[in-house]
Amino acid sequence: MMSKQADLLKLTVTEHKLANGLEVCLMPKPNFHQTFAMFATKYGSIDNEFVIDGKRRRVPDGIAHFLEHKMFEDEHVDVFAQFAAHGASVNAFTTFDETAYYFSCTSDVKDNLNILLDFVQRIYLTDENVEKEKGIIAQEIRMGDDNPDRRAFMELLAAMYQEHPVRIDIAGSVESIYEITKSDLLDCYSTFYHPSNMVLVVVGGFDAKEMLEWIEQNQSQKTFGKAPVIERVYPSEPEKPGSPRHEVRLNVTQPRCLIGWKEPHGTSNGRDLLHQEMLTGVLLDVLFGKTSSIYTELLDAGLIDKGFSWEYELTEHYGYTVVGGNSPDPYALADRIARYVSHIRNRGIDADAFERARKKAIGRFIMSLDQNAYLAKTYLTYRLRGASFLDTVDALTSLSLADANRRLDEHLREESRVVSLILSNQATG
Amino acid sequence: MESFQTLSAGRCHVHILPHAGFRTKEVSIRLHVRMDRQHVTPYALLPHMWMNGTDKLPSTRSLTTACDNLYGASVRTSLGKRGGYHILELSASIPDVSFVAEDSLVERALDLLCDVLFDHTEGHGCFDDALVRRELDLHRRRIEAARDEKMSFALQRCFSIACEGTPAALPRLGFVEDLPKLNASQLFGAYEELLQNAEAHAYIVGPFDDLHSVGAALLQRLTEKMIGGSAVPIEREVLPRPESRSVREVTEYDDIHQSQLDLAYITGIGYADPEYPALLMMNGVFGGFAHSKLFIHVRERHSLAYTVWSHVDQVTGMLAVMTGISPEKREQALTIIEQQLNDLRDGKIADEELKYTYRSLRNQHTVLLDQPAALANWHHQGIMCGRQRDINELLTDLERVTRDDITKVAQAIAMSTLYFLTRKDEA
Repeated sequence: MMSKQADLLKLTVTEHKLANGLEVCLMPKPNFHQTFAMFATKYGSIDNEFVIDGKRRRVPDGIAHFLEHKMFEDEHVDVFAQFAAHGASVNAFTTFDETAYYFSCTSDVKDNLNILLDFVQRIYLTDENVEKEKGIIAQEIRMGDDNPDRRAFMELLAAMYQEHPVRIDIAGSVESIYEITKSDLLDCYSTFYHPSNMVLVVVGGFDAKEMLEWIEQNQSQKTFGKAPVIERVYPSEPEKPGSPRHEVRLNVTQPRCLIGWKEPHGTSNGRDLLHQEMLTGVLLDVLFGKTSSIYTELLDAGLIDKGFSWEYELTEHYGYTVVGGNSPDPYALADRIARYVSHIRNRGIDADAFERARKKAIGRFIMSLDQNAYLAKTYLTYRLRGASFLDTVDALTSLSLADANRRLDEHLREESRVVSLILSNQATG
Repeated sequence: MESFQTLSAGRCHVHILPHAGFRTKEVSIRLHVRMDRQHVTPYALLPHMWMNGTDKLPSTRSLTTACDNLYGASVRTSLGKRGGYHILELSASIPDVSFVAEDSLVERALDLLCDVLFDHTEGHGCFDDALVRRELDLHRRRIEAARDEKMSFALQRCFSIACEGTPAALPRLGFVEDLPKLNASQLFGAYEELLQNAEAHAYIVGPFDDLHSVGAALLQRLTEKMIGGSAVPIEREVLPRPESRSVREVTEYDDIHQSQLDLAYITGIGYADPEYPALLMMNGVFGGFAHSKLFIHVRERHSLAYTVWSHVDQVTGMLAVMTGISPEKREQALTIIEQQLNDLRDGKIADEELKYTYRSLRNQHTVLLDQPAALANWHHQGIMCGRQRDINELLTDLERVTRDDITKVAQAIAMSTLYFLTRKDEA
């Protein structure tokens, strides 16, 4: 057991590894009514090829997300109803590299915890219940098809990545989900849902000692067999993007423009990963935040609106920066940003702006600790990537201006840049 | 439930609530004003304009730089709407960084927040001609972009059609056609009118050392600029139940993959009414949760939709059902939705449904007690709905709601509007 009293953060965290391999992180907050628990597996949409029974197996796209839906199936009582009986709200999500199930409650904490652990650790599939899910997920995919921001983002990744499955929509396509069978789902479940591949994070108004006892009690009643060695198969991905530009025409009033930079590779060391994320985040805030010169220029030129933003993502296998938003003239915006970045690369970023952005990141991190759901989710995602979210202040404090300029030079290169445009197909004039 | 302490003078009120265990100090100032056709667009612009600069910090860049210098204290403005009232909000979230920062940030953040609201003169800062022209163009795009969010656009359309002829039907962002007629001096005029007419409610919640003096200082700053007048009672906007049961059907077209079916029911019950707890329970059994009838029947049993919910508008008492479906499933979805409502009218409500709904509502409301910003919202909702409800008292009322109460509510409500957003047939 590892315990860390993060005094500065007014937060106590304990981490435990159970006999079956499950990692448990507890963050009790005395006097809170709410308990928020999240149970996740390191398994997402990119894990579409793996070794099972000594053989390589390629499964249909969107299956991790499909499985997430199917975990809510129960032979006797609907899972939503089980939680509702104890006053909890429950939900789940699937990302590229993670599937997470969570509840929020203000009473019956032990009951809700047991329901969470039990429904995720037991699967009930029939050919009928697999079939009936297809219509529901098809509507979820259609909803995404009508969302221009989501389309712009997925097209950006599809332009950036030539082979890696991060280029494929998390939910798959209407065609791919109709190929999914009960046996595909069972193979994925048995490969990725062993406790040794999972993390449980609980935040809120509970007693840590009692909570750990409840979890251990629940887990000791189950047998899972030996922890499998998971062999994921990813295609080899070239360092350079596949295509400099993707364009899609949709029925939108506002065209979208996203500009992305591809990392040549991911980072498997957790400390390095956190450091690189914080460093790149501070750099991007200096370059593209609301206090940057370019933000005002673009606003004055009518090329962006106030939703213009940036984000950075880094994992073991891939990483990217995304900048952009709505623009009436997406070609001009992409061009203007390319010239701006090339100009800044020559002279470096401003020391005051760097210091301000670093302080801002510290302040925003501190405030985020008050959001239990955000805290649990972020802590867990970093944990699955081998990093510790609570080291954020240390990581931010250790950054230097020279680091930021080095990062600018190595990351925002012209040859790793791609552009995704959503153009309006509405008749003009 | 811990309660707010209120300091008042004229039209201005400051509500304070100490709350320990947090690292964020929250301050928000909310100005509410009755909407009318003439003012809706200029008022909608003001919160966006305020963040473009003050007289002291005359650009977005200098203003945002000042915020970022306060360890990223987030100072922001937003535009809300409740029934026929516009709510213009300014807020600041201030991190407790006493372990790294030299002094308290509270005073500087509050100064900045008050400047965003008051430090403007005609022709300067955010009322500079060029900045106004820029914001007018951004606002046109803002209004147009609302159409790109299909689900919320459809719900908004359905709501406006159902409230037609009342101030509640006015769009939150105003009208595109008003924008070419507006200029800096007219907007400054609207700003002065707002300060003359609006009622202000400010909230200060979180781990402050000297909450009372911070509150008193803020009240003084508000009353210095918002002189005279007195608080006016909120107008009741609950839509009356119609005499005849005729449904207005509106179909609109867009090039979309998924059709949006939205239904508005008039309940005649608002937040302040004694039947409100029964309406909340009825909505919960009907479509408020993942255990509700709509979710089980429309989604789980018939696989028609991914999204299907119902929710209650506390001000107008409108109950809206929203779902995204394949265009050819419109009739089937409609039949199933109406069948669920008819089951409620016939009293077909299982004990479990009652229990699950009560417990889910209890959870939803108890969570609010943990969150200072949510408590401020809860209190302000009471202001805007003309009745303060204590969370624990509401929970007691919800627990007392019987099957009969729910059935009565379901029997009394009537569909007023059916809105369908779909693609034109290829044929």
